[in-house]
Amino acid sequence: MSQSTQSNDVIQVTDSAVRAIRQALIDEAHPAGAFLRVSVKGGGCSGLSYDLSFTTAARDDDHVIEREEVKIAIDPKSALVLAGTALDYTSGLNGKGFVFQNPNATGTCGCGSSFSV
Amino acid sequence: MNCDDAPPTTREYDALLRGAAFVDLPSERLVRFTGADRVTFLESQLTQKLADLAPREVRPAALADRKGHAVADLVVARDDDALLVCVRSDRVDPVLSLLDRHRFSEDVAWSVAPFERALLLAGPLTEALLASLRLTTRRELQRPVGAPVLVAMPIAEISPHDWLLFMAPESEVEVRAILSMAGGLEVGARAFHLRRMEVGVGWFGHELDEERLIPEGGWSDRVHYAKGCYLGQETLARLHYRGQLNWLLSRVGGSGQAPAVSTRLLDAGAADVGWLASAEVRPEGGWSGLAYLRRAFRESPGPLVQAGAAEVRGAGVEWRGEVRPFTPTVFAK
Repeated sequence: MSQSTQSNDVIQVTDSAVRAIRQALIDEAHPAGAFLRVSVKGGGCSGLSYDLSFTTAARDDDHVIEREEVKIAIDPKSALVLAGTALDYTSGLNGKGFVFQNPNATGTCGCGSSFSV
Repeated sequence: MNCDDAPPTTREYDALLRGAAFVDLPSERLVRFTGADRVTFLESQLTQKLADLAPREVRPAALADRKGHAVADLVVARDDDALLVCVRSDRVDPVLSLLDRHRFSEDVAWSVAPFERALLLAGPLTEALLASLRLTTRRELQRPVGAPVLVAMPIAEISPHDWLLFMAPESEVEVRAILSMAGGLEVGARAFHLRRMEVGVGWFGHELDEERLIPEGGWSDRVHYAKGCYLGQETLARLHYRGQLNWLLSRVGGSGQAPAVSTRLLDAGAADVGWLASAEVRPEGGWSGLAYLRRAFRESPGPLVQAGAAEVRGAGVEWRGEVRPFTPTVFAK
């Protein structure tokens, strides 16, 4: 895993994740001010799934993390189960994508896309 | 009205099998799910496919935990601006508690509908009973205007002709009177459960609990194996595609007195092959029940005997074949 951000943030975002987010903002031609929303939704074999989306709609109660001009927002309820999570980006022969390492997860499904707390 | 404690009578049995009957189901509740994400949220949680539910269509479903164990058997209906989910009252809290743990940013809300009474309409000759309540025979969710029944749902509980009727408590006496006048016979709960066992339908709280995997209870018609991820899907898909279900709720029966629930069942070689989950006496004598039987026995069935009951050994229990899933065709559009 690459270097993470400040330790008092809700989640830790690695350098490689920051680069991947910035590149996706460019590739998908999102408008200025767009940021990444990280949230938790119901779904998946274990009941809860991670959700990543770009948006310009901020909420007053969002937790906001800013790294190298990349903004990441997390709503308060999702923050409860994401606290301490490391968001990384991996690429390799076995695939590439964002990876969550969530210390609150008590179980995950086989493919790793959903979790339970 | 028949007393719930009375054993089934021939008249009740015949009405359920060949006529028109209704039975009090005091445990049924309707939960109303609203919000823009109601379908996608429940699709991600329940075992049944709901995304293509047509207006007023009704489907059986279930909720599992993440390991595939049963939480509740459900019936889901698409109303104009909501999904109506029928849940047994003692499962309302576990179901809503589990769903609430998985509700984050989704636009979905729920409330338990104030219809505190439910009756099940059963039997092949219920057309006149439906008409007496201003209901049609169309197998879809109905909300008759100006009638004492507020919501009617077609289901296949003990026959393909069944209906669940919800009403306000103050309308219950009127509905019973209307159904009786139209030729329906009110039957006791024990008669209903006898027929339920005979057709192989397991109920949570009777044969299933939170220790049982959903396919073990014969609930495969409540599961859509191709719809994608939902709570417990990993386990259920593995069981389905590998075909390695070690236990399955199966129909059993015999002559004489019904054995006690939990009685161990042995094969002809005295090997333990399962246990009795429920049993009820039949009006013409003997009994029917549901038992969990091992896979090896189901693949090569033979006579069953009760453990520790030498006096009925060899004469008591006979094999009646595997559980027969209920025909899902009655839910077709």
